[in-house]
Amino acid sequence: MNSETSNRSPDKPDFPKVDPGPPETVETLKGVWADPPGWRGWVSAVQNDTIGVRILATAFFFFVLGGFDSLVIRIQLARPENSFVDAELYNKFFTMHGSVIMFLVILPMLEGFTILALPFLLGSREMPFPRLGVYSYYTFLFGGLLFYSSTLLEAVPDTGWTAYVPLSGPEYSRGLPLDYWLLGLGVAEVGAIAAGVEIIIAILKMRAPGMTLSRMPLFAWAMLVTAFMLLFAFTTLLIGSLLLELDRKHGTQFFNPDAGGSPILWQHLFWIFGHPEVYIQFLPATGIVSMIIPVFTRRPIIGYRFIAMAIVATGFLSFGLWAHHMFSTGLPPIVLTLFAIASMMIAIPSGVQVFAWLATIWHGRPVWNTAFLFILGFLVLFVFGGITGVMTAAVPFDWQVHDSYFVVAHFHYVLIGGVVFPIFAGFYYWLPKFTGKLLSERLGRINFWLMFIGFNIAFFPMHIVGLMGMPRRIYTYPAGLGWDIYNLISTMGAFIIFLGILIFGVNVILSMWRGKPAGDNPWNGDSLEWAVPSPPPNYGFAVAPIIRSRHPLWEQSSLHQGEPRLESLVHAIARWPLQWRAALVTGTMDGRPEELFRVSGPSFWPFAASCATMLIFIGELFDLYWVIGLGALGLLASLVLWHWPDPPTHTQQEEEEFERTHKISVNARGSHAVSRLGMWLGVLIMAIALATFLFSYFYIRLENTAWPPEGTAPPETLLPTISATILLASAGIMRWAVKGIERGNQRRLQTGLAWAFLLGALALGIQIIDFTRLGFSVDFHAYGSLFYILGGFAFVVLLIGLGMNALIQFWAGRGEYNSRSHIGVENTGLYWYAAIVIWLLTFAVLYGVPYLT
Amino acid sequence: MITKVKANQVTHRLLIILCLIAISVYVLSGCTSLPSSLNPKSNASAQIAVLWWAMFGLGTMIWVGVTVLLLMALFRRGTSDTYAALPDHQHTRTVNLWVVGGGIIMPTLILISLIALTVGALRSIPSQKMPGGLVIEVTGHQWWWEALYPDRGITLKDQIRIPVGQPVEVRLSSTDVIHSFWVPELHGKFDLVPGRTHTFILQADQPGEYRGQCAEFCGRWHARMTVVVVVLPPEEFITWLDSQTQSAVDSIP
Repeated sequence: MNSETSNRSPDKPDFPKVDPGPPETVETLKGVWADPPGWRGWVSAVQNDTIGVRILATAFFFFVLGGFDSLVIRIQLARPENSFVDAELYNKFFTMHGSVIMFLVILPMLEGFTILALPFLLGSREMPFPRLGVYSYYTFLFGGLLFYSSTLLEAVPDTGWTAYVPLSGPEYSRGLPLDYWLLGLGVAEVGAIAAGVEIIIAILKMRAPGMTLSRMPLFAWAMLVTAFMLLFAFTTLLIGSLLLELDRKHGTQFFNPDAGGSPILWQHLFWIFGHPEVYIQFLPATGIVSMIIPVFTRRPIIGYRFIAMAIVATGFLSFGLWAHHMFSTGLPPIVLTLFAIASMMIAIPSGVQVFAWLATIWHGRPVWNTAFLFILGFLVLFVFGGITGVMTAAVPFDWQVHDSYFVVAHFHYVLIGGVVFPIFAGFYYWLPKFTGKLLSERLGRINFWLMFIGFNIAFFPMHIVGLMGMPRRIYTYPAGLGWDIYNLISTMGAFIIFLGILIFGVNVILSMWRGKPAGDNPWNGDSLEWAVPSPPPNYGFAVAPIIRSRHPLWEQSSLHQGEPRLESLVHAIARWPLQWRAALVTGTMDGRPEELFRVSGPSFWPFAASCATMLIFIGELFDLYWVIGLGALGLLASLVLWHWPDPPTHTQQEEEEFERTHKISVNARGSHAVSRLGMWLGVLIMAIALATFLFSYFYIRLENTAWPPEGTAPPETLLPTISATILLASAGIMRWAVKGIERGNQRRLQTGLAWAFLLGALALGIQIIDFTRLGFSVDFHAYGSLFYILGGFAFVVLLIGLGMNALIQFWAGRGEYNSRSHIGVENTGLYWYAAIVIWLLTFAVLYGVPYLT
Repeated sequence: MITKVKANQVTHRLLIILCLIAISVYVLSGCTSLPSSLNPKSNASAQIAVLWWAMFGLGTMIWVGVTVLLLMALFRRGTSDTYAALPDHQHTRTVNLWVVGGGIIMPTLILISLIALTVGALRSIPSQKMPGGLVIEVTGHQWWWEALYPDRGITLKDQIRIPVGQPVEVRLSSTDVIHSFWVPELHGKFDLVPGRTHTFILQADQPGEYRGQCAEFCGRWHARMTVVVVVLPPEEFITWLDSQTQSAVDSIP
């Protein structure tokens, strides 16, 4: 807590500024970091400011659409036996409302904001994989548009945002609507995972020098945990959606109780995603709150460590609660009790955060502006919603209020109060930084009070009417039950909220048109984004800041003072390189500079990859297998071209000199650390997918008394054993090849890769042959479905490995790798081992478990 | 703002009290004679209602407490030293009091008592049936309820009839999609899942007709899938039972 500057007051703000860099280099920097012009630039721009803003704008557009859906719902429910919309249409509206908000609005808004602002908060220039950010954006945009195109074909999904089977399965939801739900949203889910990978790497590896983990802004802690949660939750949902789509269109039986499947499995898979999903939305909101409260109470946050630990604890705990959405499905009493206890316990880390915030407010002096009002609204509403949430964790009570308007009220209190209010606070707080213009305080207050009052009018009565027996998802209700007045009040409240959001829109437009200039630091903030101009230059920081405190602008007299080595490094980076986009990689724990690397510049290929991904999903949607093939080929080609090594930079000499002077590696071909971490996260995603498949396998296994089912013999194990052994051998050879290039031995690399490829292909071939001789089909029973699909997963994983191997061989032949630089080989090796582990686990289960009866 | 601290505190406290009164009126008005989970007509829903009121009391205290703390924090005179961190010893004391005391210890204690309440309520809801007692098999269809009395071969549509004061074993299943059987005055809800049978004990303590509704979205006419539980005094129930023939199917218009 040693601060060099105490008694700093707003009357004489003398917060340290970021060094804008030597004037002669600033123009060049701007040029290097600028988006290409014209429509070409539109599809190839990768820079984080551009992409972040696009994601935010698109998400807000979907927010308005999803909001209109809710107004239709409320108009229909305002009176009993109303006929504003009929049952069929109503069911579509509530499905769209839930699905759009949960998949296309909140998380993209938070991810978009992170891509835009996180580098500033961390003192860095860019996100680690700008092209991945582009891919994430376009898959989100295309996925959302694909989802909405269902309206054009009158094929809007109508089974709620949870799409329970068997209602959403092949028998009761024939045709396009549910396929739209699965596939349209599936595209967007892929984008969310991509952004998650980027965010993890940015927070772990791309912070300013000196920013240790414990000096990171709390928003970064929140996003770190959130991004990991994302990988686990969304991968699970993607696999679950895959299984449902297979059931719907390809005859599998995962969820069909008449053929060994289980409808409850869908609920498990969905809620293993669905419950963490709400914490994925809530934790970033708490990050925003932890950033804003200190600034508007003029006091550094109290209990930083506790808040960070609470965020991590919430992330872990949230994966242990999912069955509280299933208390009515006939779970055994012990399971009910365990999940009830876990669901209550998660209130403790939330309580830690709330009390840390209260303590900060207590010891500070409030600044009464709109952002702060939204935070106060959040506190009051979130605590309320959290309490009703703990109530629903009490199993017998949940038996009454589950699927009633009580629980609708609960989750709107925590999602609107607990997430949307902080998002609005974030808008009022950070928009001026990125537009350079202040928003109107007067309109802001009107916006807040309309939303706060309107929200309570809309949602408080729902508690009552839920307790009175009104279930969810009903298009109308009879008069005489006493529900009428509460529904009418709720509807009025909804329109007041709408008015508030309208005022917000007006405020934003007026501000961009003729708002007062914001200046660098209109709020006297403590974090790094307030040290750059508003709006900031596209390269972020010319001279990187050196961090020595959690609150750099409040506690450091200068942003570029530190060890002489660091000082000379950050000033040197401002001068060189100016031919390519350079960013710094720092150590995960200690924030010490490790690498100066070239961040990817504009490229058309992420956009192309996104289009190709879309084609795959569209092909599946309309049963056009040639389109799927086209999309797959297109995706392959785009990925290869995306990762094509950049042309040499012709700065070899300067790179070596920089390395000698500053003792960090310079990688003009891309960062090794970032690439390696990216590969590890890819492996993690594959592992999560495998875990989801295995969970499904064992769940279905336990639901069946005979395994294999009557009339089916356990599978023969000779061929699988042979292929597994061959594959293990190839692992050894791969390792030999990787070690070879570490010593600069090109021949060893190429020979080893080739042999590993051959062995891998052989193993794959043998196993596929065994699959053609299994004696049962994919659609006769869930046993068969699981066998073929899990096996197929292992095949695809190995196939990708073979593809990577071939690519690496191609580039090795062109001399791309040497003893100093061979990250592509290392990553392929890592992937290879992971693919083999997945293979062994999968086939051990498939061939072994049937014998374990 | 600073000069009006006291007035603000008083005003805000009054507002809170008024809100509480309003809330109570709201809620109490809901539980007069209208069908409601808070208008229990069975031991099971009575246990749940008691649990609810206990949690309501606890929850109100917590929410009011936090809100009052927030208002006090906002309107008290803060220190004049802005933008500076608290001195270490004061920071530790503050963290211990607020974060550990208020954020960890207090919720833990409350949650422990809540868990005890929950387990108590769970165990007090009857789940054992009398051997030889009445069994009803309720099967969900899109969008109606089929109630079969297997011992008598009687089938009812959108209605079940039970004798008052006796535990009835209800076996739930479905022929198509997942439904949920919910009669708030008598019990919590249980799902009807195809391929499974869920069993619960239904026992009503007062005669009457109780409205229920499907509570798991089951397709287009989910909102119309209502059921009535007719609870009869024992003699009337036996009379009715005997008067039904094997093929009688009753329906409520």
